[in-house]
Amino acid sequence: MLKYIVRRMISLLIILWLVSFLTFFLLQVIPGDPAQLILGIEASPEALDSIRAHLGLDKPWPLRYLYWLAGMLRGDMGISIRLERPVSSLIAERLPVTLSLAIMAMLIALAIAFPAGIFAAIKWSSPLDYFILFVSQLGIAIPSFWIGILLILAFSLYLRILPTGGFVSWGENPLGAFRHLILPATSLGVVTAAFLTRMLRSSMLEVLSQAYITTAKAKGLKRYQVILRHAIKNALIPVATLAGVQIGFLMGGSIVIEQVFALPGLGRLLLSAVYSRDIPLIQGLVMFMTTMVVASNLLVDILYAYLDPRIRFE
Amino acid sequence: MRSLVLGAVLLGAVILGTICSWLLPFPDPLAMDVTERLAPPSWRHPLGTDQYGRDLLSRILRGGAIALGASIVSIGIASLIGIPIGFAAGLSGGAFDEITMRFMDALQAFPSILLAITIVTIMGPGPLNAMVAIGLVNGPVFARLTRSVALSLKGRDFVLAAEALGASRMRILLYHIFPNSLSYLLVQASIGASTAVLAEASLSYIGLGTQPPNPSWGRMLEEARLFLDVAPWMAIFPGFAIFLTVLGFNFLGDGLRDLMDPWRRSRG
Repeated sequence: MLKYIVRRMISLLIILWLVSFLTFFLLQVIPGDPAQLILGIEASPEALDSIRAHLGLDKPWPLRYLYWLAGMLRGDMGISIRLERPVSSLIAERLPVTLSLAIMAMLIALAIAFPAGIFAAIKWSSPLDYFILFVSQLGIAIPSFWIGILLILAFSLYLRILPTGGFVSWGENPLGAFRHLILPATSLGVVTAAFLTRMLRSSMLEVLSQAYITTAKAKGLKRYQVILRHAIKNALIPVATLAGVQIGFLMGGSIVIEQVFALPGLGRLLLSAVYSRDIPLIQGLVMFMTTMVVASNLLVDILYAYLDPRIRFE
Repeated sequence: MRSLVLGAVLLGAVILGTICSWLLPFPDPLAMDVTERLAPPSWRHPLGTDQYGRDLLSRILRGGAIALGASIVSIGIASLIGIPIGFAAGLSGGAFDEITMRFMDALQAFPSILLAITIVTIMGPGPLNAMVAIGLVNGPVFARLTRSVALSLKGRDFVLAAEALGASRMRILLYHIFPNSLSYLLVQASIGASTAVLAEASLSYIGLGTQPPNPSWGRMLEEARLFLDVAPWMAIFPGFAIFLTVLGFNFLGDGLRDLMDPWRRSRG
């Protein structure tokens, strides 16, 4: 197991290094001069030169990349040009919002997908199965931000029981934070739930046709015992991988959903950085969000190897 | 077969609607009318009007051009980049394969919308740039699929036979491997088109795709967000258009996959 984890860690580091290179390099070819952006078009050439030197822009890009990478490794992501504050502290401030949004969305998705996927498989080819399949097909096609808008319409404007947007921190008002997150998390979670339901259904069907299920039935176990003890555990293995992929989807989806619900998370910070062309902040955020996705995928992979010893010895 | 027909019907309706927005005498999708601001659905405006009094039905039909354009442009770019890379990596193997695939891993490590946003930031906002960005993001998906198809075909008897007959590598690729990969690529193109429609709508929603006053479904939803309490129809219909288009491409993809795979078809 340790050998497996070490091997996966190495490939993760290679990927993150390539990601850092791409992130830095892509944003170097951006049109426009950051110095000009800060000082405006009226600035004198001397002032421009001095701010370029201050930002390190007078150095060649490979050197700047090394400085940036070294800073990243120390947790120093540079200074936001517009907000004039360290990128790392801006991220630390917004992270709890995005993290709670993503976790809640995943929990909602699992809460829907588990019963739906398992019942669909148990009642294979029944009206219930077709209904679940049909609804999940619709769920995959719905844009999450449209669900968000429809939920605001229903619960905030029509029923008036939940806020239309904004956020209060967990520390200040835990119930308030929950109330502000429930609609955005549902909008994101529904789409993930649809994917997971389909996956869980087909993997349950696969497992239920295996010989060890017949054996379990033959030795006289009750139906629910067969399903709970033998089927579900094995059916979960492929679902775990998909759940890993969905973490990336949730991270990306949160960018748009935070905009719909005016949630002050990483996504909104990124968009404000994009609108104001705040390169250090964009670089830091892209790197940070991608690292989070890659790292959680690694965790899923390790869990996967733990669940299924065959993976470790591949 | 059912999915295929359903997908074709849905997409046919979207294409027909888009063409009709030019051919039939619908109101100009850009024409403002202050006396008809935020008007609810009526005979004159079957889907209502927006905050400038523009006819929503016209705008939604015309918006189809952006959605369909996004799927065509981004699939075109993704396949132009991904398919040659995939074949090269899969057929050559070795260090080239290893390095390219690591690179694709890194590109796919980014959440796709995040990478698209980054690329649009570099190229500047706009409908065409958004479509190109979505295509670039989808490139690795095509590369990976093409590579795995190439790997599985490489050892098949008909390829070995062609090799034994002395066919050149180019000839084997063009006449034996490529035609046999087409079915997989077609399914992927259909699925990719559905994600492209969603991605274009997302990028336009956050202001990086189609710019006002041009009608894009994502942009229309963003405008609707501000008038939700007075004009809910503005939020309902454009979202429905996205939903039906994506559903159409998904059904088409499912149907094509069943068609290509007789084993699945026989199971119903």
